[in-house]
Amino acid sequence: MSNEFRVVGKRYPKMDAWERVSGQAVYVSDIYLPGMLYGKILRSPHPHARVAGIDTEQAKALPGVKAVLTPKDITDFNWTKCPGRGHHDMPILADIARYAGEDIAVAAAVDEERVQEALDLIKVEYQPLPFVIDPEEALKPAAPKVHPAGNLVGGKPVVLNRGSVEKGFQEADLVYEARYSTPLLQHATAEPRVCVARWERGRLTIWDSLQHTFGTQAGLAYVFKIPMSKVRVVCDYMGGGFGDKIQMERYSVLASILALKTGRPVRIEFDREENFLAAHHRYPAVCYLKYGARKDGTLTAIQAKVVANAGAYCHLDGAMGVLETMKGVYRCPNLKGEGYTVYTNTPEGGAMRCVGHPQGQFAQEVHMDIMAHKLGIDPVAFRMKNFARLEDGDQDKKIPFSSNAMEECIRKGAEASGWAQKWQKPGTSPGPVKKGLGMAIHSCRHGAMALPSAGMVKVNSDGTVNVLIGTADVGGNQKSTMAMIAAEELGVPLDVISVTTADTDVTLDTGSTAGSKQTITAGNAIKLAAADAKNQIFAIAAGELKTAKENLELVGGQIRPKGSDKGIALTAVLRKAPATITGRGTGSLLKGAITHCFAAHFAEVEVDTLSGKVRVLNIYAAHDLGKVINLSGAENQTDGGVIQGIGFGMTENQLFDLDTGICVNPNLVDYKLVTIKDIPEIHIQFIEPLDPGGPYGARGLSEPPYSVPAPAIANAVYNAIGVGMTDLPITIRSILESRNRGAKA
Amino acid sequence: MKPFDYYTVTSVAQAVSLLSKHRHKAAVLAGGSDLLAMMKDRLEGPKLKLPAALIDIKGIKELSYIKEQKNGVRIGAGTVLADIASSELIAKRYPLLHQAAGQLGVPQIRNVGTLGGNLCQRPRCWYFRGKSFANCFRKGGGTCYAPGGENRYHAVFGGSNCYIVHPSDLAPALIALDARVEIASPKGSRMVPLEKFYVGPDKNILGETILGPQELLAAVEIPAPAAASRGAYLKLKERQAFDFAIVSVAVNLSVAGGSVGQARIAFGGLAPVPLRAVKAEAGLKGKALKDAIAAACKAAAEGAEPLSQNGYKVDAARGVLEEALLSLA
Ligand SMILES: Cc1cc2nc3c(=O)[nH]c(=O)nc-3n(C[C@H](O)[C@H](O)[C@H](O)COP(=O)(O)OP(=O)(O)OC[C@H]3O[C@@H](n4cnc5c(N)ncnc54)[C@H](O)[C@@H]3O)c2cc1C
Ligand code: SF4
Repeated sequence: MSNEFRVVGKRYPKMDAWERVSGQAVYVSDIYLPGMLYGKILRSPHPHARVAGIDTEQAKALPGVKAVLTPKDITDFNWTKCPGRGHHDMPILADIARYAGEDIAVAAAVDEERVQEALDLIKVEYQPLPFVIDPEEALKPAAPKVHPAGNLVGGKPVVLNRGSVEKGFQEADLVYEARYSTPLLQHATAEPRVCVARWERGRLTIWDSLQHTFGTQAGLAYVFKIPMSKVRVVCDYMGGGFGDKIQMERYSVLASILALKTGRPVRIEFDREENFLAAHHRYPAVCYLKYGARKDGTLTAIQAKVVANAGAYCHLDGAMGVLETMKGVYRCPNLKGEGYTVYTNTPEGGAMRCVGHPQGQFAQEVHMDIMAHKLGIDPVAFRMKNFARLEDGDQDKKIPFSSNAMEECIRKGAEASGWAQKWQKPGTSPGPVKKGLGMAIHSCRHGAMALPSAGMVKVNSDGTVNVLIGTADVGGNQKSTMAMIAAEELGVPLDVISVTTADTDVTLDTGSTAGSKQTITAGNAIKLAAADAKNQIFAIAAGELKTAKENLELVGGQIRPKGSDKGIALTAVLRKAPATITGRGTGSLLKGAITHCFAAHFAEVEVDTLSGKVRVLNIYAAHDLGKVINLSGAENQTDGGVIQGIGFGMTENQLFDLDTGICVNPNLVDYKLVTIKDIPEIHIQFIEPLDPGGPYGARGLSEPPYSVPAPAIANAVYNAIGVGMTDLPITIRSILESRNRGAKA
Repeated sequence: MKPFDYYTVTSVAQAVSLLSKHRHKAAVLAGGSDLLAMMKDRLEGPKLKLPAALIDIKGIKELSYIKEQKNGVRIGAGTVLADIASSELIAKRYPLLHQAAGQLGVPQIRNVGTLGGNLCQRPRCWYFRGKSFANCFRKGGGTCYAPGGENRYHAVFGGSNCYIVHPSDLAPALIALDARVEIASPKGSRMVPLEKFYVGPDKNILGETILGPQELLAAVEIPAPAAASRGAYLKLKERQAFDFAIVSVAVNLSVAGGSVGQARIAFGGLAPVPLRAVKAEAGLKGKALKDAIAAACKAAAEGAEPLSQNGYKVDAARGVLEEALLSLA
C-alpha cells in the first residue's frame, strides 16, 4: 500500500525538531520587545464576592508603574457578543468575582517585580457571597446563585430522544444502573497562556500562544472597533494547547488595552498557578447510566443523565459533549439523554483533548464491562455485538459513516493483547498481586473535516516551496504534515519545503487546531493548493514539451512526459512563469456521510492488593484514522494521548477545599502528572481504511487516544480485583477502599 | 520574589555567628529546592515570615562528605542527595538508605538538594503550602483546615491540632538505622538521636525540629550495622517519580539463628514526625520472622486515628510493612 506514495505514510523526523530541542525556536514566551511592559492580573482570593470598592492610588503612584485598570477604566471597549467566543457571560474584568482567581484589575509596569508590587498595593474591598463548588449541590433550589438567572445553564436540560427507552427496558433481560464521576483536569501545557501586544500607527500586532489566531484577530478587531486588516495575530512555535487556547481570552484583550493606553508593548504571561486558577480545564462530569440488554448481548436501551460542571462561566455545553459518546459509540434504537451543564464557583471549564468524551467514555465503558460480566458475555464479544457499524453513523438523522474499521480495531487490539489466552473472569486472579486485562473502545467526530479550509503553496523560481497555512502548529507536528502533503502532491523532495503557519497577515484561516481536524481540514486545502500550483507549472511545461499537461509528471526535479526519460528541469520551467507560481486550495465538506475516528485499547495491569498500588504493564492501542499521512507524527500523538489518558485514569485531580472554595493543589507537585516511569509499553496499531473525505484517504487522530486508556485500565482493574471502578482517578486509596468494600460484599 | 539580604559563608562558625546575629529573620540556604520555592510562592502567615536574610552554606566545604569512621559512617549536612544515592559505601553498608535516597524526588532534586535540607524541609500539607490558607496553625494562625477539608494525604497518627506528615524519605531510613545528628551552634556542637530531633505539633506547632534559630545541622552519623543485619526501604507513591510517600517504611533487622534479634522500623508519611513502630518491633524480636509478620503488621496500625479521607493509609501502612518484611524473610 505505502508504495503508492513517495512521502505520505512514512516516518520523518519532525521538521522543526532541531529548532525546538536546541532552543532556537522562538515561542511567544521568548518574545521580549524593546520598551516592553509587564502586565499582571489581580485575582480574587474569594470564590464569590462583590467588589465594593477598589483603591488604585498607591499602586499608580509607585515608580515604574505605567497603568492600573479596573472595570470602570475599560468601559469604552466592545465586549458583549464578541465573535468567536463561547462565553458571553464573562466580563473582561469582574466586579463580582465568581471564582477564586477571577480577574479583578490589571497593571503594567517596567518589570515583573514592580508589577507584582503594584498589585500588592491595590486595595480591594470584597463583600464575600455564599458560594457553591459541587455541581449537584448547585442544582438544588436553595443553592447560592452563581448568576442571577440560576445555576442551570440555559434554564433547562438538553434532551436527547431516540425510540423509546421504556420499550427498550421492557425488552431487556438485564437492566443495569450506576453512577460515575470524573475529576477536574489540567491541560498542563508546557507553555502557559502568554501574549505580547504592540500598537504601531493604529495597528495592533499580538504574538499569542493560540490554537486559532484568526479567531483572536476577529475578536480584537471587534473589541477595539477597528477593521480586521489592522489586527495581526501571530503564533509560530507553541508549547502545547490541548484545547486551552482555542479562542480569544481576556488576557489577550487586557494586554492589548494596556498596550494601547501606555503606548508601549505589553506582555502578559500566566505563571503555573494562574494557569490552574484562571485558565480552562477539563470539566468534571457525573454520569448516571441505565442500560438494558438482551441475554444475547444486544443493547436495547441507553439512558444517561449527565451533570457537567461548567465552572463560573459557560464556555461550552459540557453535558452535551459527554452525551455524544452515549449517542454514537454503540448502535441502539432506544436512547434517552438528559444533560445539565451547571454553573459553580470554580474556574471556567473548557475544551480539552477530546472534549467531553473521556468523561462519557469512562462511564460508558465501565458500565458496559460490568454488564458483560452480569450477562456472562466476554467484553470483547459484547462490544463486537454493539459497536456502531458503517451504516449506523448518525443514528438519529440516519446518515452513515464515511468509513469505519472499528471491528478491525477491536479484533487486532484483542489479538495483540493476547486476550484469548490471558483474559479471565473478573476477580479470579489468585494471590495478593493480581493480574487484570481490560478493554475499552471509542469513536467520535474528532478527526472530521471542517470549514474554513484554505491554503496556499508558492513555488519559488529555484524550485523551493513555501507552504502558507493558517493552522497553528500546537506541537502536534502540523508543519511536517503539511510539508509532506505538499511534497507528495507536487512531486518535490520534502526538504525543499518551508511552512509558515498561523500568521493572520500572510496565511489563510483553517479554523482552530482542535477537533483533531487539521490533517484533513488544512491537509485538503494544501493538497488542492499544491495540485493547483503543479497544474500551472505543467501548463507552461506542456507548451515547451509540446504535449498535453495531463501527460506530464515531475520526477527528480525534471518535468517529462510520463514514461519518457527526456524532459526539462523544473527550474527552467519556473523561469518561464510570468509570476511566482502560487497555488490556492479550498477544501469542502463531504456530503452524505459523517466522519468518525475509531479506537480500541487493551490494558494489562497488576494490582498489589496489599499496598493498593496499580501498575499498568501494557497498553495495546488500535486506531482507525484513515490513511496515515505522517507516521511518526501519528505514533507520537498516540503515545502522547495514551500517556495523558493514563494521567486522567490514575493520578490527575484538581481539588477544591469545600469550606473555602479554594483550590488546594494549583501546582505540579500536588497535581500529579504521570512521569516517564509510570508509562508502560505502548503497542500501537494503525488500521487505515481509505476515507473519501480526506487527503489521500486520511482522517484525524490526536484526541481519541486520550479517551480510551482510562476506561481500559479501569476495566483491567475490575478484571483483576472484581470490583468495578466508578470514579476517577484510580488511586491507591480507591484500590484499598474497593478491596475493603469487595471483602465486605 | 521579595528582596532579601544574601550572605555567603565558608565555615560553620561563620554561619552560626551570622544566624545568631539575625535571629529569626534569617534562614539557612542549602540547595534551595524547598526554601526558594516557598519564598517564590510568598508563603506567609501570622508567625511565618519570609526571611529577610539568606545565609548560603553551599560554600562550606567542610559540610560536604561521606566518611567511613570507626563505628560507622558520617555524612556532612551539605552533601547532595545524588552523592548519597550513588555512594558505594552506603549501598554496601546501608542498603535501605541507598534505596531511600534513590527513590527520592527526581534527579534534578537529588542533584541540588542536600542531606541537611532534606531533614529540615518544611511540610507538604497543601494548606500550609497554599498562600490563601494563611490562618493555619503552623503559620501561627487560628485553625487547621485539614480535618474538615481535603485530607487524603494527611496524618493518621499523632495529629491532634495539626495533621502534617513528615515528608522526608531519608528521615525514616536514618531513624531505622539509629542515626544521630550533630547540631552546631555558637556555643559549640551537640549530638542528638535523629528520632529526638523531630517534634510533633503538641510540642512545637511552628516547626518540625528542635533546631533553634541560631543552630545548624552539621552532620549525620550512622552506627555500624549490626551483625547479620538486613534492611529494606519501601515507598508507596501515586507515581513512580516526583512524588512524596503516601506511606514509606524503613525496616532494619538483625536475624540470627532463625530468629529476629534487633528490629527498628520507622514509617514516613503517617505522622507529623517520622514514626517509630515500636509495637511492631517488639512483636518481631525473638521470633522467626515469617511467623511474626502478620502480628507485627497488625500492631503497627494500632492506635491510628484517621481523618475523613485517609483511612486507607492505615491499610497501606500494613501493606507496605508486610511487603518489606516478606522481602527480608
Ligand atoms: C518536586 C519535589 C519533589 C520532592 N520529592 C521528595 C521526595 O520524594 N522525598 C523527599 O524526601 N523529599 C522530596 N523533596 C524535598 C527535597 O528533598 C528537599 O527540597 C531537599 O532535600 C531540600 O534540600 P535543599 O538543600 O534544597 O534545602 P533548602 O531548600 O536549601 O532548605 C530547606 C530547609 O532546610 C533548612 N536547612 C537546609 N540546610 C540546613 C542545615 N544544614 N541546617 C539547618 N537548616 C537547614 C533551610 O533553612 C530550609 O528551611 C522534593 C522536593 C521537590 C521540590
Ligand atoms: S495540618 Fe498543620 S499545616 Fe496543615 S492546615 Fe492543619 S495546621 Fe496547617
